[in-house]
Amino acid sequence: MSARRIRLLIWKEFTQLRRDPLLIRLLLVMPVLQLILFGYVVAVDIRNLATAVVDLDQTSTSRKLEAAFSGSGYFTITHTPATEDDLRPLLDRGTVKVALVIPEGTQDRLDRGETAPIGIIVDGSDSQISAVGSGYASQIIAQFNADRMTEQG
Amino acid sequence: MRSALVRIGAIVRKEFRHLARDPRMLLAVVITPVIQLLLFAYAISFDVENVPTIVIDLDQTQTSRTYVERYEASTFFDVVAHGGTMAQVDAAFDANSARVAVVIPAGFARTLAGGEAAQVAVLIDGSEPTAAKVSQAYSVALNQLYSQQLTRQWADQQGLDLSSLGTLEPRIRTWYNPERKSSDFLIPGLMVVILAIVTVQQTAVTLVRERDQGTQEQLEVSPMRQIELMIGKLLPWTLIAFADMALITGLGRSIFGVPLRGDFWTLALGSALFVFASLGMGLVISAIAPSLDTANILAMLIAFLPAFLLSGFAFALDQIPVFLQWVSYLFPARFMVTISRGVFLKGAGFMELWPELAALTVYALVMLVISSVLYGRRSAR
Repeated sequence: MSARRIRLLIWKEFTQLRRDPLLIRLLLVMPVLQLILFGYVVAVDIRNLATAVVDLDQTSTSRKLEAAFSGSGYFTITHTPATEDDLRPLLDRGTVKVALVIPEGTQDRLDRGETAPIGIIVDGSDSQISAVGSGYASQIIAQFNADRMTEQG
Repeated sequence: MRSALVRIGAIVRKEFRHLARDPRMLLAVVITPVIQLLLFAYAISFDVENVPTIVIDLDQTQTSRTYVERYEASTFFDVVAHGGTMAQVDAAFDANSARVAVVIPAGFARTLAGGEAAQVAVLIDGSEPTAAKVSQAYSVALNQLYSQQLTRQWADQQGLDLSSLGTLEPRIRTWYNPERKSSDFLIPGLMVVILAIVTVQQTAVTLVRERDQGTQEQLEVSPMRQIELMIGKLLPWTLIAFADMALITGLGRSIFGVPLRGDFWTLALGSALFVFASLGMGLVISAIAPSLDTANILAMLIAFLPAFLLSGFAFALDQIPVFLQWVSYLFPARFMVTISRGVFLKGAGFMELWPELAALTVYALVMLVISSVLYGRRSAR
């Protein structure tokens, strides 16, 4: 062990580094860039999911449900196709990630005290979006039911 | 033309001979993709179910137990422990034995019986953001269902008629991946990441290595033309990239059962364009990097990082900040991930994916032109 020999080696390494200015810059920029990128990309909040709504009911209930979805901030209604068949190309192209299908007669079923199914389609080719999107959709519908109950009760 | 082909053939043979004589390199291009595929596919998972949950029931009444049963019955929460003090929550979170804690305060049943709103604390371990967000959404939904049921009971007791009040029931369908398998989602994107790493990294060092080993001069004094050298250098890597792609597709289908629903030839065309674009990027690095180290780091910077983070392979592109979305268009990986996922999962073909294919074509052409200009200028010096 000789401190002098180690010092000389260190000096040599730095000299080599200095002769490759691109490498120094890269070594300084890389960690910062990685930090920024990972920070922004990995920890992203899922919001404003592009959503298509097929409203086959066209009643005040269905409109209220749509408003509940777009008001939540998690979903942004970008398309309102007339039929369910029109959803296929939208999801195929990835234009929308979530679709809400309100079947005909939803309001009638609710008024009769029945359970009315609401179709929610999530794009499973993106598992983060499908997990979070279906969770939020369930939450909004549960909230919608609770609100209706409070209004009546 | 004939002699040009002979010269290109000579370079191709030379490159393959290098590969054969350097087992480490062979290992790097064949074994590494397999290891990456297995590691990533098993390690990364966005599936959120059976979230380990600890229940702290400070009320210990029939009502609180009925409430806890809700969590036990759901497939989303997995009640792994019951406790009596708040300290147990900290202990369970620290030991990672639970990710969600449900705390029912004393007096829960009394408050409810008195017709008031009772509070329940749901604590979520936020160190995994996706799991935390989904857990939050589900516990809110679960609580609302429970309170709805309570309201009904209460209304029944009061003799109020709620029979005219129906409820909406979400029927959730997951298209393209009904079982929500993470591997179905990840492997088509992973293929792109692996292809980007192998192709860019290897071509980035190929010309630098010639300079380092002093064989650059030999190539320059040979009758070899610039363009012939480039084609000769690119061909072997194109073949290897295709072999890797076939390998990953084969493993993905056989081991992980990833479906290939769309048009195979669209995928092949996309891959070819993507490989050319990546090889072009590698050659650009090779032309500007003064040393092997620099070439390696540059390759990591423009191949691995964008392919991993800005391609949509694992992280949703429409959710990242807008300026990063613009940056993502500067790299070919995002187009290729869309193509790969479209063909594998969505059963898409040329009709749906032509915009991405067009973008890749432009990208590949631009990259090959830039690299030949840069490289031509360099050797003219």
